[in-house]
Amino acid sequence: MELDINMLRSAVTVAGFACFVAIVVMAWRPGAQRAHHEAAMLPFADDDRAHTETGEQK
Amino acid sequence: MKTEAMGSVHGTYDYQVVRQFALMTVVWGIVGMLVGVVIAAQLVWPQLNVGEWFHFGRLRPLHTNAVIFAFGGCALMATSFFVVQRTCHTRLFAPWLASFVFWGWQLVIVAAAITLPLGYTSGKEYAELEWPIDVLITLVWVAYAVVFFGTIAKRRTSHIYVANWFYGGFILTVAVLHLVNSAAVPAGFWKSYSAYAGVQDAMVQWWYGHNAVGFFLTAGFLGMMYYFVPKQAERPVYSYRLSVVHFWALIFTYMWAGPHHLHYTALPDWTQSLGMVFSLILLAPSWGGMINGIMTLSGAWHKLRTDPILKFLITSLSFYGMSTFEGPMMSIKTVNALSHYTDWTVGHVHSGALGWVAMISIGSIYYLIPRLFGQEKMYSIPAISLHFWMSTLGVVLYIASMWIAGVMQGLMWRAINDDGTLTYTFVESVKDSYPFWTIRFVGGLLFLSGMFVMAWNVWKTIAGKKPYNAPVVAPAAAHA
Repeated sequence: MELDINMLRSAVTVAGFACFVAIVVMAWRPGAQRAHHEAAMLPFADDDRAHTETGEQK
Repeated sequence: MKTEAMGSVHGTYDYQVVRQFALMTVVWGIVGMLVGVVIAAQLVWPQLNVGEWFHFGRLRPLHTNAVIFAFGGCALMATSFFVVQRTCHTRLFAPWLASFVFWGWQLVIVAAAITLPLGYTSGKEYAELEWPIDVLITLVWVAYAVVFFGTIAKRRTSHIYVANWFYGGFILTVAVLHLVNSAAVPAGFWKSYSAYAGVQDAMVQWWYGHNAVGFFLTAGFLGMMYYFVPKQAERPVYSYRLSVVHFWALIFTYMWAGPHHLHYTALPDWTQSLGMVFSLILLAPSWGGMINGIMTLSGAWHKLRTDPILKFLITSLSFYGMSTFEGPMMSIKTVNALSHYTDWTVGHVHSGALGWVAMISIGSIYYLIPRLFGQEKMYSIPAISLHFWMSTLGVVLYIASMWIAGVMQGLMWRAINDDGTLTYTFVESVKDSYPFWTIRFVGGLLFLSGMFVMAWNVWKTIAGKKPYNAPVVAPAAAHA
């Protein structure tokens, strides 16, 4: 097998796919679920509605 | 909600720059869409092409720059500065630099509004501005990146919320795209020549052009989706792990789709096929993201009945799904042979630009405005509803007329007689397009009118009200 530009192209394609598989595995591994849940709740970790100057909710 | 009493307040968020960008989003939205309606009218009534400054050819780039970079850019900067602060529980990094981003960006817009009608253009679509303005854009963009990533760096949460990943990807990639595609040799102050030649120049341009769609008009607005849809629906995003795969798949795939703008040109055939294949693959991450956004509403669909802001956000995702199905289909070479250079492309763009980009921005701005002025909600909820229906009807009229006009033009241009001569002259296809251009003008006018309803509603909400800066609350004191 000759090492030419087409070989490199194939290698990059395979590497790209391997990268994708790795990302999917990382995202779906059971250990990630806690962190994902924490991150998903970030928009709700504070209340952005207006408050009065004493800190009361309007 | 007594976090303040617990001593966990650390000053207030920097809402000033968010307010400025949010209000200018409405202003530039009206200006940019007004120019769009004017050039739509010029196509229906050619006598409206008055002099060289207000000719279609000069005003069209003004329209695209105004809606993409002025309206869309201000919406992205307003929301990103808001979201990054709220999800990182910290004030902006270098607020004075954020102020420079605002005024610098306005200066870019004004410079564009002056130079484009005067005819100063580098001739690259969506990158027409001449090199002195390009230099200013670079300075502003670097400042934007410093403020955004600086804020992420000093966050007080352990995670970086997914919306910030999308905003960050948009900021980084647009910097690279702008630098590479705007590389030019100046020949005087308002004239330059591209650093690339021939088909390489075309390929660099459309690598830029399609990634401007993919990162400026998609990734950035997906950042909006991942924050404002959950907030308005009051439930977390449907699947966070899907959002992780969505992010990486989208940014990896978009990079390669540019060649579909150059089908059947001097670009090597394999490059065209590569662009087509990656455009088809793009359907997967695009729809993954759309489904993730829409399914966030699962269990809360009833809110769509009463909440017009949610209507804007969810309808924008429907248009996003439509246009990201249409796009891959149009990138198929045999389909492109019919659709390219016709109004079908114009319709596709507006399905994305009005249906997706504008509607998610409008929904997000309606969310922001009351919060930036210490109000509970917009002055008039029925007016938001009215705006929603005007926008939706406007987009539907626009894209339906352009579909028909585009397919008709494509079929007429390719029709040949038995002896090999063309069945129709070009001008016959122009003549037959008039009814559809009129419908498009009406659709655009309706969408623009909706923006005036928004401006009135925003004015009534904020007139006489003091700017409001919310207290920064430590994440530990959060109640989720």
